[in-house]
Amino acid sequence: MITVKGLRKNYGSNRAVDDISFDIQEGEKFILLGTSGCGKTTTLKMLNRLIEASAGEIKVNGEDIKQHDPETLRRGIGYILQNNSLFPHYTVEENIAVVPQLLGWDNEKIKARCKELIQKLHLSEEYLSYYPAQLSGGQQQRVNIARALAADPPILLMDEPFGALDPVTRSSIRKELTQLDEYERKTIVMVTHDVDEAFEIGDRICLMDKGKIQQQGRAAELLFKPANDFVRNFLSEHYMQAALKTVKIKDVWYGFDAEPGAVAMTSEGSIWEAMELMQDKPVIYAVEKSNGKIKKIERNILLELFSNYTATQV
Amino acid sequence: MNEKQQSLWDFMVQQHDKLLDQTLAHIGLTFISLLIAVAIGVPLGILIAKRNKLAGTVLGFAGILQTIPSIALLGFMIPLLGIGAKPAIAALFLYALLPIIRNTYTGIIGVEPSIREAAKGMGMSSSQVLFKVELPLAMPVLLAGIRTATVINVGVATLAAYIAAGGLGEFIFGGISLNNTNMILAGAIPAALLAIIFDFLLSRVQHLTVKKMGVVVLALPVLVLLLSSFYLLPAAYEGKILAGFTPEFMGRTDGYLGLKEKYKMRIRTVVISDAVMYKAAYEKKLDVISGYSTDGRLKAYDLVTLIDDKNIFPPYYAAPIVREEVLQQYPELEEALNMLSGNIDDATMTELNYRADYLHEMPGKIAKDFLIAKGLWKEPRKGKKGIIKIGSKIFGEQYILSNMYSMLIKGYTDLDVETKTGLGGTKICFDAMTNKQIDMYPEYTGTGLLVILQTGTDTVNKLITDKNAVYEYVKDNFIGRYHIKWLKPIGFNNAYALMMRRKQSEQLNIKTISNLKAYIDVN
Repeated sequence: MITVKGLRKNYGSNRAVDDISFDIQEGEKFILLGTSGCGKTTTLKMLNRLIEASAGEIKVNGEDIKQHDPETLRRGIGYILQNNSLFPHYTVEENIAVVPQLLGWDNEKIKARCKELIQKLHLSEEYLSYYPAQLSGGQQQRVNIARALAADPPILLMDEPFGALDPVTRSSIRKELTQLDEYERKTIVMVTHDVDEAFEIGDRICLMDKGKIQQQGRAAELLFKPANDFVRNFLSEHYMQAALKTVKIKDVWYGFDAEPGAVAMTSEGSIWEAMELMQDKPVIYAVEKSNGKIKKIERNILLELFSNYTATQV
Repeated sequence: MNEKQQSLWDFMVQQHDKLLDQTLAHIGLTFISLLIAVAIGVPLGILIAKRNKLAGTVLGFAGILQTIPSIALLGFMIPLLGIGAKPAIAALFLYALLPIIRNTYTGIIGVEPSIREAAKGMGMSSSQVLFKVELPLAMPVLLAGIRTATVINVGVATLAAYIAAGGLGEFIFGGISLNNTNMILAGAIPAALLAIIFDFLLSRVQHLTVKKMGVVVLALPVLVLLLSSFYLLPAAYEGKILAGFTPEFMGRTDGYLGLKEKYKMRIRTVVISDAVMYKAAYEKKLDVISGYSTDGRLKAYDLVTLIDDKNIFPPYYAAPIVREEVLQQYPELEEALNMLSGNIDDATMTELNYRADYLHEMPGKIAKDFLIAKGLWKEPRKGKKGIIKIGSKIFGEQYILSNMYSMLIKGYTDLDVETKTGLGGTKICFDAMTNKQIDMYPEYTGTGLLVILQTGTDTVNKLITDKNAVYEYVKDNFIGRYHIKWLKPIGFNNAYALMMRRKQSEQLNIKTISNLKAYIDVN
């Protein structure tokens, strides 16, 4: 869906982004990960031409993005920034309505869409007439997501969207986002410096440093087959948590016994998810979606299987 | 106190049509210039917010304009734009410019970068970003700038009366010259009220939510345009001849009031400062002016005085007036000061004034040259017996005279001198004297009679044709009321006079004020 080839951005003699290429499939969640100054935000902003590339090519659905004027391009791409980017002089409803209005939707349709989105993001309708300053940081960020989703764009660009929130709010909004029914079909490119966030959301992670890609691939590849020392060091601090989020129940499915019970999760879920569910009970039941098989997951066995699995991967 | 308030009210009721005219002219001046300043300042502010490189230059330039003293800025405008509304509006516009440009710039620059980026990222074009996001968010700051500019303009617009542009300054400066507190207040209070009201109204607008502000911001230009139009109301009299009179002259019975009453003159007038009046007459911006008969510019600009055939202008013989207390303490002072008496006639004084006003020689040099020529000059004795504080009003003749007195005192007595020159008008000078801030200054018999003693019409009519009678009258009354002594008259008579360009007066054959009246009535 998005193809980037030989992308470059120079500021004077400094190469902020240096010869980057990647492909993103439709519906894929692609993470640009790295420390500040690594070029990840510059890369993201080149995708909707907030920054013009110095060299290279970006194609969306096979079309060069330079074929259209930047305004048209941006109206078709959702864009989420940190929570202080809502328009403070617009109400929540007017904030959400910005892109539909730019696209010339009629008022009825816009109103209906605003109501629909506010409900999806678990805010009551009365908030529609509030101003951003009257909302909490978490509520603001929900509105921010609603604003980006308003015109139902196939692509969402997210620039450290949860960076300014406290850890609790951050993870709860992250969950809400991933549980939205349109989430599955959206192609998402997200910039973050947060390894946990990257591993939780990302289908594929692109780790950058000094304007260059150090490694891109599935979470497990980065974790278990780091391409270089930079990748290894970058992930080492978060290794355990990242591993728990990367390894799925289905990866260690063979080690559990079949036993009927109240199903708490699917085998697609991560070990981390299972551990969270097992905080107050020693045993949960998981189902394998493809064949409906239910197995009993025990904490002791789970941890042992996990450590065996990671050992074989490295 | 109650009586005084009552009389201020009386004055305002009595002068209500003038007051209304002046107030409307004041509002008009303020808002025309404000409108132009907004129309130019806001786009300029936007421009420098977008092109940051220009910001320093533009703000620096506007800042320099702001530091020019207002009266000087008005002065600079006269060679470029003449007198009247144009230079006043131009000067006010320049004053209003800085706060408007700066606040527009600051307001736009102050918009959160992430908000601007979100707007772009949503797909707004740059004009949509400007009008939907940047300007609305900058609006409170921008309005604060307009508010500052409005208050500045209401204040500075009082000075417009100096260059024939009208406004409440006419009463204020007239009142200062005429020692008429009611007149000062009749101008100053409405001016202060205008500033307070406009400031209040704009502060309300500023604190509206951005949504409601939209309506107001649209309504504001219409309102401002309406207010500006006050200024364009037609003048009271039409006619070919235009007279420029000082604020003082406008309010005096031996001035414009006398012209109206005794000569039944109906002439188109503007109020103007005497600093620019003569030049304006010379440049044909004005046809008739109210001048002083010994003014050096009379000679410089080739003007002639019209004969006062109905005797409305009383004699203005100059003499030093001194506090009695000081004379008792230093009796030798009187003799020294009287040495000038009989030595300067009208022609001599005009010549001396010409050197000061037109040749721009320093008053001190003129005074010394004159005293040397008359054999009166002596080396200063550098005495330390006491200090005499000499005052003077703010025009050349007074500077020259006070310099002469200073030299005479230093040369003929053991006293030292401290000069406090440039004390505004009669009121300021005389108040300084009664408050013992100064010991003496040169005063004119007519001013003493009418302005300071506020002598009744009947007495004035009896005295007015006899210069000695006027002198004796003020001398007696000053001693009695203020313990201030009039010394011997210097000799010249600096009376009010109407003046015209020599050429025009010859062409139209106007020699007397009655001739002028006849000409105006026909044309």
